[in-house]
Amino acid sequence: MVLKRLEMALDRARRAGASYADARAVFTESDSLTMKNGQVESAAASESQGMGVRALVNGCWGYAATSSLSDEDVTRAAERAVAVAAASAKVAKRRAVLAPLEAVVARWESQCEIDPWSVPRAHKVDLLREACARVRSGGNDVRVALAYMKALRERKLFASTEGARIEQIITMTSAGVRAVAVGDGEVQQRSYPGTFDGNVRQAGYEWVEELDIAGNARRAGQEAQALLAAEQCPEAVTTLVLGTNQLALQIHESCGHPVELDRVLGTEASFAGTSFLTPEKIGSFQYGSPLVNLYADSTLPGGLGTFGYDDEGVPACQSDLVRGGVFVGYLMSRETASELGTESNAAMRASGWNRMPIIRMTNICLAPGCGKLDDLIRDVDDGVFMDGIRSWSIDDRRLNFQFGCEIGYRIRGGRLGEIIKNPTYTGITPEFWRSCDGIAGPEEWVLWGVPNCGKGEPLQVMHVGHGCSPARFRNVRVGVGRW
Amino acid sequence: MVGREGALEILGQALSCLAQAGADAGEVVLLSERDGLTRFANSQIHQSSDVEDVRLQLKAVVDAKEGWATANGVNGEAMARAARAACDIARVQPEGDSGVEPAEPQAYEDAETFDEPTAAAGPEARADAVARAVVRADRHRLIASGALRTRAMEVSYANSNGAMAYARWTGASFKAVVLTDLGPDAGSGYAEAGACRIGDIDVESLGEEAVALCLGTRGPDDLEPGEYVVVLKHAAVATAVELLAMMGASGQEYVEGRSYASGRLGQRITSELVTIADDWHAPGMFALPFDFQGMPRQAVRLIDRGVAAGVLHDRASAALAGARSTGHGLSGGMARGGHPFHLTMAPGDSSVEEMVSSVKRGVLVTRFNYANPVHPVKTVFTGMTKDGTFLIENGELVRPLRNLRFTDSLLDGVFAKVSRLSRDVQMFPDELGPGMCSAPAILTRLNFTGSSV
Repeated sequence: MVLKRLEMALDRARRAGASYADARAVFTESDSLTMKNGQVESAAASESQGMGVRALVNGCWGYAATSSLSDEDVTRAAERAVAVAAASAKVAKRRAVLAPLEAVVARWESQCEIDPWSVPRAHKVDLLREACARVRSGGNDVRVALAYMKALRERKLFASTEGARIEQIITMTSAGVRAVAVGDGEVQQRSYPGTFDGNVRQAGYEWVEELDIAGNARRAGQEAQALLAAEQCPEAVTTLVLGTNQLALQIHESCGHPVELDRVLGTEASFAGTSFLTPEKIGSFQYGSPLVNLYADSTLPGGLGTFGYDDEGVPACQSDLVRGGVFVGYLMSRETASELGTESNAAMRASGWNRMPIIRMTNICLAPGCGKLDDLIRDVDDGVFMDGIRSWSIDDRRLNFQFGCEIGYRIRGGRLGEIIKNPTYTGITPEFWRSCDGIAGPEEWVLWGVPNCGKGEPLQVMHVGHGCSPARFRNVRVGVGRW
Repeated sequence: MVGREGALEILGQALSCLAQAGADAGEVVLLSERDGLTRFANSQIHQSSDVEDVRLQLKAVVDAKEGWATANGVNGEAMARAARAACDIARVQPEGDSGVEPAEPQAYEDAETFDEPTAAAGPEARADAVARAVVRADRHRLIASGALRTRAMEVSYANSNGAMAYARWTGASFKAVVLTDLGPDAGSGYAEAGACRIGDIDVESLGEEAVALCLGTRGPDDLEPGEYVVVLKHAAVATAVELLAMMGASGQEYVEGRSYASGRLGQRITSELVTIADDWHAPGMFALPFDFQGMPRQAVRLIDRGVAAGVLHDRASAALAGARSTGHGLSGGMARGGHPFHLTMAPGDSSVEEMVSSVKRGVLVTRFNYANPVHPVKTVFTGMTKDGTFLIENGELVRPLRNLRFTDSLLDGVFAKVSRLSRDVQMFPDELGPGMCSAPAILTRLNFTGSSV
């Protein structure tokens, strides 16, 4: 029935003058629970539904969306999308051309063993309350103990005037804890397993069970407590070893965003920014050391950037971004790929029915090297280890970055030493990645979900994934600012 | 848009659904929005959209426990499903919590900032306006990008105690970023404005301003890191004000010792020239006389002439602090504590030109980019300058600079060292929500820790 309405919208758009149109209906439901110090902080169920029509008229795009799926409103959305596109054509200098695509009729569903909605809420409340208690037990100054979980399911139907008819169902689940310790003029936090919603996967409730947040909660509290009394991160140029939670964000900001071809071509210049990875650099620019291999993979099971087809109907795929340290590829849409004379690698995604798809990260991963984290640390006489995301900033061309982490340790004589607080580091993207001289092996590789990637206007908050093993970087400036 | 009568009818139906689902009490918020946005880049429109949405947020109270549910369908079936979900969530809460009962009926100020031409602005009108800005860049063979947005919004509130409120407002914003090219040392200029009425946005002037700024930024130079005297123009100051609010305006964070204001209310925390408030009565602000918990929205001074003066409370954080709600509550099971929508920084008696002329050696900053907190209690923040950074020598702008990274404290640095403020303020839209921020330009000091390449 919904598919019929999408087809009705496409027919209306075509008759109104669209040379191409696609329509997308999205139904999402979520269930979230956050407990603070054993009390419910927030508990909410949410539903959202709607559809959007994207129309191409005279080589210009228009988009219109409505939360109503009535015949009348769907038809009106199609007409508005065409009208918006026609208005856009008044300020056009070049016409959009779409790279070729074979339209498919398909269905895809993410893995989900235990339906999160089948687990009684009372069970979830008990788990989070237990986790809160264990966080608090980590130290007397742990003022705030947070425990949270969330399930989100998205059902999406896509149809295009080229004949695509695609249904996809994606289930995502997350859980985590956070300890906040408050001292004299000092606040420190520690999260498990990571900072953004703990960790988020395309999975069912089995992912919550695997995370064992209660079993790891006390350590988060202990580390937050220990950070209150820790020494300040030293100001130095030194060797930096990054844990996977922070390295995932480093990949996100300094590789994932600059390889978005819309940024490169200037279409995000007024908001997200542009990119230093301009097209003439493909195949020749030394982005990182020869150890560095980065790739986009929207087929990765469990990844937050995984799907069967993107929001243009392009099938999921894996493609190299940096091979042997050399920059080799972009994230692309059908339109931007055609500008480079190639085909899309399935990176067009919209955060919901009320947003037009734009180029987004999928799962941007760093290929593992060899050995363990201990092996990386063993080769460091004097350095710093950092992990846990706390602060981030990077310039609009994705070169000058600065990150702050939740926790740091001095490395002395090849071993982890004392804990340090407020660790920060800064650098320039290619200089940083060229200084990478060690990446741990597959046994240390962790897949992180980043549920809060912001881009586009109106802002679109997207779910993306990053996989990596810990890595080592030489001559990095740490301890930035005055404390 | 559903209108006052339509909204109140939907709220009544939703409250009935909550009662039928077994709620002892309930409250409902209805949000309706029409959002038109035209984006341009490479001097042409590349994305344009019109979106309509209606969202209903229901809170059920069962045995002094609360549960929330949200739906964006306002038909009977969607409402009933959401009401049942809210009650189910409330029932499994571990124990009752005082203060979850809905507010008693309150008196609200009668104010509205709804502009029909803004609400009616369609893609044609937006495209025409964009064309007028782009042509200014075309004349100089520059690359124009930006966005023109018009929004019409409604918020209505009702609860089982009989409280009811309705507000509607419009908003318009325009931003232009003009580049010489997409290369590493591209010149770039920027101008932006937000208002309640599209008629108050002068697209042509903003386009001219961005072009002029861009033309003056070609061939930027380096600057050694260190602390400099800076003139921060209005947009940079607005970002600083928003970040400060993010780092501790919330009453919940204040109570938990996580706010810059924790334990410091009544103490001097900045220059006495600094007054920062959340005030929907401030000139140019959109009117929203109540919050999402049905409480009257009050003006709150966060910093009053350099002294930490207040924080923003919702009903929950006010109860913890032994205070009254200031009418800054959110809804829908979102994080507790007050949230600002109408930030203002009081002006002074100077101007950007006068401030620049008073500087022997320093930096003029047009705006900040990707600025974020590093340490909330210490109010340490970092970010980059963007779209017009200039070296000042002997009271003159002598050359453009590459974008600079700064890492400094807002309270101990930027706002502690303010020595002048402009007499004019500019209004900026919040990129993440419906909020607005009005700010002057200031003369202060800033610690630069790096630069772009």
